[in-house]
Amino acid sequence: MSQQVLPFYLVCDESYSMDGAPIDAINKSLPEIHQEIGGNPVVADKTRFCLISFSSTAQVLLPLSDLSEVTSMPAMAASGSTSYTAAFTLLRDTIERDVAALKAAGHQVLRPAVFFLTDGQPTDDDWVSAYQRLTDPSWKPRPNILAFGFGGVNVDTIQQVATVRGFLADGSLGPAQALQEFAQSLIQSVINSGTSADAGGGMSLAMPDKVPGFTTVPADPV
Amino acid sequence: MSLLDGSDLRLGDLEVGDSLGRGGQGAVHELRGPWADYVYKEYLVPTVNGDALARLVRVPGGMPSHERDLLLAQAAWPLARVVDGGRVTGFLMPRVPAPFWGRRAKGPALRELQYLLYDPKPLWGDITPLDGPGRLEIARRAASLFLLLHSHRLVVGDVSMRNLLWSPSPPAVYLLDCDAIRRVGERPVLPQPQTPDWTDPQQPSTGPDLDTDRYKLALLVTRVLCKSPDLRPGEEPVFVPGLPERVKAEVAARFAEAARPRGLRPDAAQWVRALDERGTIELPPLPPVRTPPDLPKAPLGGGPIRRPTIRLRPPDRR
Ligand SMILES: Nc1ncnc2c1ncn2[C@@H]1O[C@H](COP(=O)(O)OP(=O)(O)OP(=O)(O)O)[C@@H](O)[C@H]1O
Repeated sequence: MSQQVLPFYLVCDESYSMDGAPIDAINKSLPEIHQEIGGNPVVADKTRFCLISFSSTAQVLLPLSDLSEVTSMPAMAASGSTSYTAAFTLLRDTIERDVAALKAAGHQVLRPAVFFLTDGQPTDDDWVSAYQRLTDPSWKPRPNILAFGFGGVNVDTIQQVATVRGFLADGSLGPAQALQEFAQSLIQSVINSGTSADAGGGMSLAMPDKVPGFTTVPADPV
Repeated sequence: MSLLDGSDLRLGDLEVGDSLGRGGQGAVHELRGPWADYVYKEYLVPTVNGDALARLVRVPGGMPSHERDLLLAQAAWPLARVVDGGRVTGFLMPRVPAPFWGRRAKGPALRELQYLLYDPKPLWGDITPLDGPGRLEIARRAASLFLLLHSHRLVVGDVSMRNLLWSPSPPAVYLLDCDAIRRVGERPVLPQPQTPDWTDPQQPSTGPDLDTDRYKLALLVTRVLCKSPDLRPGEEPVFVPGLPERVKAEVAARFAEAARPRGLRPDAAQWVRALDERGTIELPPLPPVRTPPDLPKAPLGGGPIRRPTIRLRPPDRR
């Protein structure tokens, strides 16, 4: 069976500044993401979902999965600093392995989509080289990155991290509500990607244009 | 009596409530107050063809009343345009009736066709897929609904695993996304997106037509009866248990015919017959039509013609 699949990666900042309402909001939205995507048969069949968290280090909390088969997810817990290097390095290695495994299983793998969520400026200055490895044009599975920023992050950072589109919280909503909107836009994007075709009849990434509580910013070409 | 007579509503007169969902082109909202039985689809794209929407709103009024009742019982038909100043912002349609809603752990979910195409999962809540006979009932009703629409030259266009809902008891279907419907040869309200695995390989560049719908009806019926999300004509259908042999044989034959060139695919009436309790009689192809030569005629013999009686086998029982 050569079925198309679209892998999604939620890469989430759990550095110390996320403690309290932000982390709680994300932990609360994970069951909803699970239900909306995993409970939608076609979408679950055509997409895969991976959860990565990072602070001083990065870890895969949920390996790339068919959400309809998942029964529990580790929760986020705030601690440490904000190392983008750790996040991007783990992300590249994980994508490399996941794409190879999906292909070996006979799938046609579409370019992975990354929802990158951060609330603070990176505490490592040298993250650019890890970022360049992740977005290297000669690396075939390089992902499309949507970057979401709130709290202390500045617009340049979001634009640098995003490859397709960035979103910056505009302060009109509190962090819990803004993160709820973030989760809704992630769910919508996954569902619409799995259920609407491009001109060739295949699947394609359906990106949010606007997210309530956020300003949309174009990605910065590198 | 309905609150809606087909005339436009002003956005400012509606009490727009929570959002029920968002698609590629629109968001659907609950309404409060006098319109609570309806929902408001708000277009999120600027290129809405307001005339096409007005034509759709007028469709039920142009039907004989029994057909109108059938249509409105089985489709979330656009009943009034919503305007803001001179701009068409969306339309009102009936809220999906209760039998077509299921319940999952985190709230209500529409009983979309897709739940009949996969093995059930715990996440589906109380949405339990139907057995063979139950699937046959759904397929029959879907084919009849297409027959009704096609007899009015209405093209569904975006037939998919999410746009048709089903209810287990009594068995019934309900069509969503009816603003994608257009009459043959007319423009749709919006250019229509396609659904992966529900594309017609022979769709004309001008967009879907009745022939496209016939192909997609073949996909719909056969996939439901085979519990398959991606079966295509040309492939061998493997049916779920509990279906009459005659139905399986006829559906397999019609499904294979759906691979034919445009114009030769089985139409909705053929699908209704294939799924019907009654069954059909396969007839050999007719010889090419010839005009008989105009020869002098002999006088006709008197008396009525004696016809022999053909005994027909009763149809298979379910
Ligand atoms: N009549 C209705 N009653 C209740 N809920 C509805 C109704 N119509 C649509 N919905 C809900 O609203 C959601 C969005 O509907 P909409 O038709 O805009 O989107 P779609 O079918 O997902 O996408 P698209 O507009 O791209 O075809 C649907 O998925 C469904 O959950």
